[in-house]
Parts: sequence; structure tokens; C-alpha cells
Amino acid sequence: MLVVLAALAMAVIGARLAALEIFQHQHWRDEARSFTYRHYMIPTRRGEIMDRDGRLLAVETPCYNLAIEYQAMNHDALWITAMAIRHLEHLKLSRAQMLVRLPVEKRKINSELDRMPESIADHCGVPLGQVLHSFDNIRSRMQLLREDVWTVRYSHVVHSGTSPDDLDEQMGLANSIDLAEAHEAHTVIPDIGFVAAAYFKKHARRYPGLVVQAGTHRIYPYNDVGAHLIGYMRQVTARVVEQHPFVLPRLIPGSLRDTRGHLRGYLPGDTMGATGVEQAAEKLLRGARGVRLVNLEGHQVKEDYRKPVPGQNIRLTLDINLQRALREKLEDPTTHLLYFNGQTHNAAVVVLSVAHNRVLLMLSEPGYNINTVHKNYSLLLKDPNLPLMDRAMSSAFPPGSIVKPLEASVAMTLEVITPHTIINCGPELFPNHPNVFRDDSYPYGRGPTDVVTGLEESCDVFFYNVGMRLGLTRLVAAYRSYGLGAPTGIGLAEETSGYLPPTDHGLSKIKRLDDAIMMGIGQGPMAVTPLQMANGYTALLRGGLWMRPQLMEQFHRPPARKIPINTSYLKYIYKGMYLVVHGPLGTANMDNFTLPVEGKTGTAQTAELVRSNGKTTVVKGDDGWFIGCVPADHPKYVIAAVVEMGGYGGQVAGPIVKQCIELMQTRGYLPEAANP
Amino acid sequence: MTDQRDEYSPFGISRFAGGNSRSSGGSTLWETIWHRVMPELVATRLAWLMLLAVALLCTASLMAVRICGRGLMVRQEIHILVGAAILLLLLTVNYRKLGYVAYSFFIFTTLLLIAVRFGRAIKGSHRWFIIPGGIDLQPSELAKISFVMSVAWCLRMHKDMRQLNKLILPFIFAIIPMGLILIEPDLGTALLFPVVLYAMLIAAGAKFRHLLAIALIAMAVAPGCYPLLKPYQKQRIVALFVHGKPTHRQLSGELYQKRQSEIAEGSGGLTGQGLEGTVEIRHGLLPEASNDFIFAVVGSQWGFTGAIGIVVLYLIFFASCMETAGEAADSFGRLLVVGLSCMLILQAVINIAMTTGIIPVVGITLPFMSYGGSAMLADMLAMSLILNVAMRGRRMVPGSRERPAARG
Repeated sequence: MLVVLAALAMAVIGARLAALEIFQHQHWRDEARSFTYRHYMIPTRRGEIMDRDGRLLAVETPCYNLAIEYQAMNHDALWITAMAIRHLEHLKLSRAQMLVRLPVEKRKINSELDRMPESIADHCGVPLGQVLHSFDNIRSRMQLLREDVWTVRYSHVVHSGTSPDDLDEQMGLANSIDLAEAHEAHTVIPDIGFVAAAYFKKHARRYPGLVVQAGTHRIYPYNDVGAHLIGYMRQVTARVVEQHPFVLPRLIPGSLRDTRGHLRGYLPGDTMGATGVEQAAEKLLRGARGVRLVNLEGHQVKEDYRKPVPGQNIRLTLDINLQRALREKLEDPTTHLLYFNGQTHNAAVVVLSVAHNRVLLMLSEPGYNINTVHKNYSLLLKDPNLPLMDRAMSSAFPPGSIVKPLEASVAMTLEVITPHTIINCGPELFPNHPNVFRDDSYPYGRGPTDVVTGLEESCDVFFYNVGMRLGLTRLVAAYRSYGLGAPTGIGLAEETSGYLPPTDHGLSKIKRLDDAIMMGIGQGPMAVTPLQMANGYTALLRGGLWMRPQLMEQFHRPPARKIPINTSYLKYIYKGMYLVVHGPLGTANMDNFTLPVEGKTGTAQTAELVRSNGKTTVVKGDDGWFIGCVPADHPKYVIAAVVEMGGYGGQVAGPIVKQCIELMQTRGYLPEAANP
Repeated sequence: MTDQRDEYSPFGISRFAGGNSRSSGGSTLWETIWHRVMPELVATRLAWLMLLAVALLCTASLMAVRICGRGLMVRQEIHILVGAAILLLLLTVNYRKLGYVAYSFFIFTTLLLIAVRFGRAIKGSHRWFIIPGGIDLQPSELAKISFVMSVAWCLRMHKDMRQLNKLILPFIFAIIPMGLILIEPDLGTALLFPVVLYAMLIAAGAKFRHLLAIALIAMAVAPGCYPLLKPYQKQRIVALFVHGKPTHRQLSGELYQKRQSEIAEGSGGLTGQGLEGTVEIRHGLLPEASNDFIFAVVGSQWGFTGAIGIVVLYLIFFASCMETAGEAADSFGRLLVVGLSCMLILQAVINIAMTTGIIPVVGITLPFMSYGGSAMLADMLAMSLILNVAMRGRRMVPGSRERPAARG
């Protein structure tokens, strides 16, 4: 009876077998074929950064990378045995000798692997910590890929009800997955240099598992010129990898289609832009890795299954040679541009073209060398002059008198003053209160003043009055319309918004009046960046057409915005700005520019905390500003310069602008002489 | 004594061999096997059939294991050779004498089953002892043998099992290892015990009414146990009822193993893809290919022809076992053969049905074919006992008044 039962059961199985293997054979064979393909990734190439004339500012160059076999890194026993046998094969030993020598050779390889991190650190000249960190990175990269495969194969076993013990066990399976990547070499130290590469190639026997591979490495040919704008790269953080992981496409089981994958994602150990354009244009620069499809049967390889997408090149509007020339002049102590009063000062210069609002030059002193930034990072961080900060857009200064033309244009439009309004400028705003709202530059007052003379002589009392008449709300709105108090939108993440006070704040009437009067001369609760000021001036010169400054040519710019000002009054402001430089009493008439220039000086009282010997002291001083528009009459460029704690604007920032104009003349941006 | 032995020598050269051997002090183990066991074995008609079937199954196993992983075939060869040696060793002892140690063996395996609870969990269950040197011992494989031996030993004295209270002891023998294996957890192996017990009870002549009543109670309770199952076990049952086009999520999830097995077998076709099998096996995409799913590997290698051949080999083996049971003179031998052969054929049926997608995935090995030392050892032990009965069971034990029973 039992035999009959067993035979019956086997008959059912036979029927099922017939169905599977004979009638559905075609279907299942097609499904099996879908497993014959495997994906491998192809590296891509990061885009280059160029200046306006195509000079390379950041470029991928070939280099030697030091890589390590994954199995060697993990002291894989099988790998060590294979390596030992390979070493001994050269000696042509007998089988018995081989058996005796094998354990000795294995021990030797093992001890060499133990010493590996130290010898890598020694010969590549990097700290041991970096080597170990890099090892960790490779391990976590593999772990990530393993978990990806694990999800496909085993995740169905794990559910919310799984006990922690079981879960550990299941996740343990992920570690035992054998990946193609586990048999490849992974980069430990990028760009080891020719000497180290030659050393490791020559002594390959002494370093089992180390491989010298050809790779690419990013270098910055202009070293420290435009460092703040170009930016530097760094390794991706764990969070970035978590948010944008790299995922290889995988075939969907049982079909010939595959999942999309995420080829633009990141793996641990990848680099990404950390600052400047490298960061802002990361998406364009990075590109996407490609995929090579390998048919495991017959080893057919489809190289172009997904072509790697190289990163786009980014072209900047910057003239890097102009910037380098100006920087050399600024750093040269004999020019006394930044070296005076016995110390070197910090400064920022921005040059914008009026017609298209393009950034021609933007520098911040002191700077740093991008190529060595990681090596010197801790030193740069400790430097009291903050070389890592871009003073042209990340640092806000009190503007001082340079806001006066912007303010006057709005005040005349709102008819708070007319071009012919005469205000009697005494040494202080309120004669009854001589200690507040003073104008120290004219201790005896300067008599009746209109707006043109007010600009020429930078009369504070005149603009105290204007600020008072406008009131806090209208004044702040005026500044905002010129783009102060908000990022200009140049596209870099480091840009700061500066500061303008909120106007709907519940301040007392007296306090609001107080703020309005102080902000009338660019002091009080406001701070601006040189970039914002230069951008505000280009808008003023275009008759109130506000645009975003442009640094990267590929980046889309929204259309311009019209500032509601009455353009018929602008000629008085232009005239005042012309007289600042060329008038008998102009605040910048000592600068002897080689071209007629319109401009405005600013000397903003400020204070900074200086920490020395553990003591913090407040040092008072003046930030010196000068904004020049060249050439006068029909300005093509706006040049804004600020010297931190430098002193009187016309004396310290004026010469920098003068130097910049001369350099622009030699490079053909400005005519050699004024038009007849 | 020596003369008497000579007439049993298989090839007529034993006189020469015996003369040269160090036989002055008594017979060595080798002499015992060569002069006493081999002649008897060769003289047994059914033993030839069984040994042929098992040898073919082992060969197919080696061919299949070869493509599942590097070095697996050599190790499986060692498993088979060691198993065969133990098989021969055990044949030197009469199975009736082995019966006396059945209970001790049962207690020993029960202790092993308890001890394995405290070991390290592998793949989420406590099934294996890890012995250094790459040997994993699975006590539940031994427990199956000891269970059959104990039940057979317990039932041998009763002329019939027509009283309900006589059924208590056999059920205790089944429930103890079954419970211990259930909490490992290893549902598939545990479920073998009641079925084999039933087969043995029927062979022993228990009342059909009693057995039916117990089975009905168990069946009534069974659906209530569904919430006690592990999530992956529930999924396997659900996976069975998935019809229509499965989603990608299901394919990469709960249906993955079943699907891969079907692909391996289905791609075999009528005559198979050759010894290299399909791609998915060579690249390790079929989980547990060398163990539980080895039939799928055979299917891909040899196609429908080979798969049906394997099925027929199992049937031949089972039929000759039943023939042996029918010829056995004592009820211990008969019950032993019925129990062991039902155990083996049941495993084969369940495993093949699982691989072909007829029933849910359960962790049961394919006898004589799956890769693994413990399983091969247990299968060889069972084979040894069956051969033992085939060799010696036909002769009446002196003093016994039993008659040959009807065929199982």
C-alpha cells in the first residue's frame, strides 16, 4: 500500500516535471538568460572650470593612485595562500619543498600586510590616520554594495516581527555575499606622485596587494588666485551618501529589463565640491558614472551600455590674469596698497561690468592656495585674518557714506528732497545736542548745501536730514530695492545677505528715528558686502535696472527688475559722484586717476574684537570704501574696494581702485586716455 | 571456525587471504567484513538493487554539487566514502543486537538536541553544532534514526497495537524530538515524525479508527498554529497561492527562491543543458543550491530525463525496501525497514515537490543527494540498517515463533 502511495506522489511530481521542463521550457530558458548579464561601473570625468578666455582654473590631470586589493586589506586567507604560491612558483621548487616553504611564505606575507598601513604612510608622506580612514572608507563602500545585493536576495526573510537575534543572523548573510568588487583593487591614496609610484612599482614583491593605478586628480593651476570663487573639493560625508547613494542598475529577476539605478549618486570615498563654484556647480561638473554590461556566458562585454556622462565644463566671467595681476600688486608691500601703518590690511575688490553685470574680478585678501588647502587646513582655520573667508561676498561691513547716492536717488523720487533743496550743514544735526549725530570732518560747519555738494563733500548732516525725512520704513525699503540685505544671487552658497533691520519691529518712535538718521549715512544697524554695493551701483548707473551679478556663464539668470526711481534726477547724482573725484573739495580728489572716474568714498566707523594672549579687546577703527565707476560719463565698469580697518576711504581704497583701473587699461578693458 | 568462514568468501580466494592474515588470535575487523559481511551482502538479491540505486543517486549528487561551489565535490566525496565505511562497519553487528541500544541512542540524540539550543545560531536557527575543522553536525538527522529504532523496538513485542493505551509510548517517542526540532526551528524535519510514526503504526497493525481519531484532532488544531509560524514560514505558504503575474517586489522578495528553482529546472528542457547547468546556478543566484535545492540543479543538468530518472531510482529503492520488510521474519526488523524507508522516501517526495513548486519551501534535504556530512551520515546509517535487515532478517531467530508478516 505504501509503495502505491509513494508511486502516486511520484506520479504527481512527474506530471509537474513534465509541465516545467517540456511544456514551459521556452519560457523558463528565457528567464534564465536574464541572469547572464552583470553590470560594472565605469568612472567618469569631472568637468573643468575656465575663466572668460578659456584659461583652465580647475582641471583633471592624470596621476598615479595607490590602490590595494580588497582581499589583501582584509587578510583573506585564500588570497594569501594564492599569493604565496605565486611567489614560490618562480623558484621552481619540488612539491615537498613547496609544502615546507608555503607556511613560511604565508607568514611573511601576513606580516607584510600587518605593516602595510605604516609603510604606505611612510612612502606617500601622509599621516597614518589618513591611510586607516581610507581603509574604513573602502570597507563601508563594499558594505553599501553588499547591502544593496542583500536587499535583492534576502530581504524577504526579515520583517517587523523578526527577533533581533534572527536579524543579526540575516544581516550577517550580507557580509558573506561575494561581490565582483571584492576582487578588485581600491584606491587608498590618490595622486601619490611619480617618486612614490616608481618606488611601489619597483618593490611590488615587497608589498603584496598594493597596485599603482592610473587615475585622475584635480589640480588648480592658478593656486591661490580666485581661490574663494573656485573653491575646493572634499570627501563626501556619510550623510550625503545616505541621501544620494550611488546605485548600479540591476536586472529585474525574471525579465530582460533592469532597474534605473542612480548613476549620479555618491559612494563613500568619492569627492564633491565643498566651496565656491566647485560646490555651486556640483551637479553640472560631476557627470554620471557609466555602466559596462558583461555577459557572463562567453564574456561578451557591452562597453557602451550606459555611457559615462562627463561633467560639463563651467566657464566663468572672471579674468583670472587681471585678478592675478591685481593680487600681486596688493601683496607687494612696496606698493603700500595694503601695507601701511606698519601692518598688512585685509581687503576685498569687486569689478562688475555695467552692461551685463558680469563679475570681471572678485578677490579677497588674504587668500589661500587651493592645492594645499587640505594640508594646511588647521593652520588656515587658526589664522586670525580668516583667509578662508571670502570678504567680497561672505563678510558684511558697515557701508558708511557709499550708500548716499542710492539713498539720494530714492529720496528725490519720493520728493523728500529736490535737486535744489538747500540744507544748512553745521557740525552737528541738532545744535541743541552737540554730542549726537556729529560731522567731525567739518568742525565749523560748511554752510548751505544741495544734494550735489552733499555728495561731493560727503556731508553727513545733509544725509542725516534725508534719512530723518524718509523715515525707517522707506529708507530700508530703498536699500532693499537696490538689493542690500539679501543675497545678490550670484549662485554661490557662501554668499551672505548682509543685514538690514526689520521695519515692522515694535521699536519706539525715538529709536526708529535714531536708526533712520544713522542709516542715512550708512551707519547704524546695517551691513553690506562689497558685491552687494557694486551691484547696487551698476543698477544706479543703468537708471534703476537691477540685475543679478553673473559669475557662471551657464547659469540661467532671471530678467532684470526695475527699481522705482525717477531717472530724470539721476544726472544730479552722477554729477555729485563726478565731483567726488574731480571737484575741488571732493573726498577722493587726491587719487589722481588716469581716467575720469565717478565714485563715492566711504569711511565707516567700526570695531572688531581682537583676541591676543587670551585677552579679548575691542579695537575701534574705520573700514575704508571706494566705489569707482569708469570711465565717467558712460561708465563700463564699477569697481568696489574695501580695506578692513584701513582708515579714510579716499586714501586707502582709492589707490586700490586706481591700481585696478591701470591694470584694466593695460589689458584693454578701458581706454588708455579719456575720450577727447 | 576458519573453515566455516571460507565457504562464505565471495570470490573463492578467501582461503588464501585467511591463511595469510594475522588470524592466530581471532578475526580482525577487516576479516569480519570481508569474510562474513560481504558474502552475505552479495548473496542478498535486494541489496544489489538498493546499492545500485544509491550508488547512482550519489553519483548524480557529485555531478550536481560540482557546479555549486569550489571544493564542494571533493568534500562530498569524502562524506560519501566515510558514510560507506560506517555503513560497512555497522553491518558487522546484527541489527537485533543494535535494538538493545535503541533507547540509549534515543536518549543520547535527545540530549544532543537539547544541547544544540545553546549553540550559536546559523541562518537564524539552532540546528548545527560547529565543530572546528569545517564539520557541522546536525543532531536532528541522528534523531530521526534513533526515533525509528526506538519505536520499532518498542512495538516489536506487541502482537498488535489494537489498544489505544498501547499507542502512548510510540507517540511520546515522536513528540519529544519533534518538539525539540520545532523550536530550533526546523518545521520541515519536525513534520516527518508524525507521518513516519503513522506508517510504522499501520505496519504494526494499530486500529485504523484510533489513528484516524488522533489525526483528526491534530488536523483540527493545526490551523490554530498558523499565528505561531515565523514570518518567513507564513510567506512561503502565501507564496504557494500566488497566481497570475507576480510583481517585481514579490519576485525579488518572497518568491525569489521558488522562482529561481523553477527557472533552473525549467531551463533544463527535455535533455538538459549538460553538466554545466544553467547560468544562475554557476553564479550563485539559487540560494542553497547544493543543499535543499540540489534537485533543481539536477533538473537543469539532465533535464526531464534525468529528473524522472532520479524519481524512478527513489521508487526502485523504496520498492525494494518494502520487499525487504515483507521478507523480514521478525517485527523489529520489519518495522525498522518500514520506518526508515518511509522516512527516506517521504523526504525525497517533499523535497522534490518543494523544488518543483508544488508545496511551500521547507528545509528538508534530499536523501543521498544533498550536500552535507550529517545528512549523508544519517542516510548511510539508515541504509546500513535496512541492508542489515535484508541480509539477516529472513532467517528465523532461534526460539522465536514469529512468522513472516504480510508485505507492508
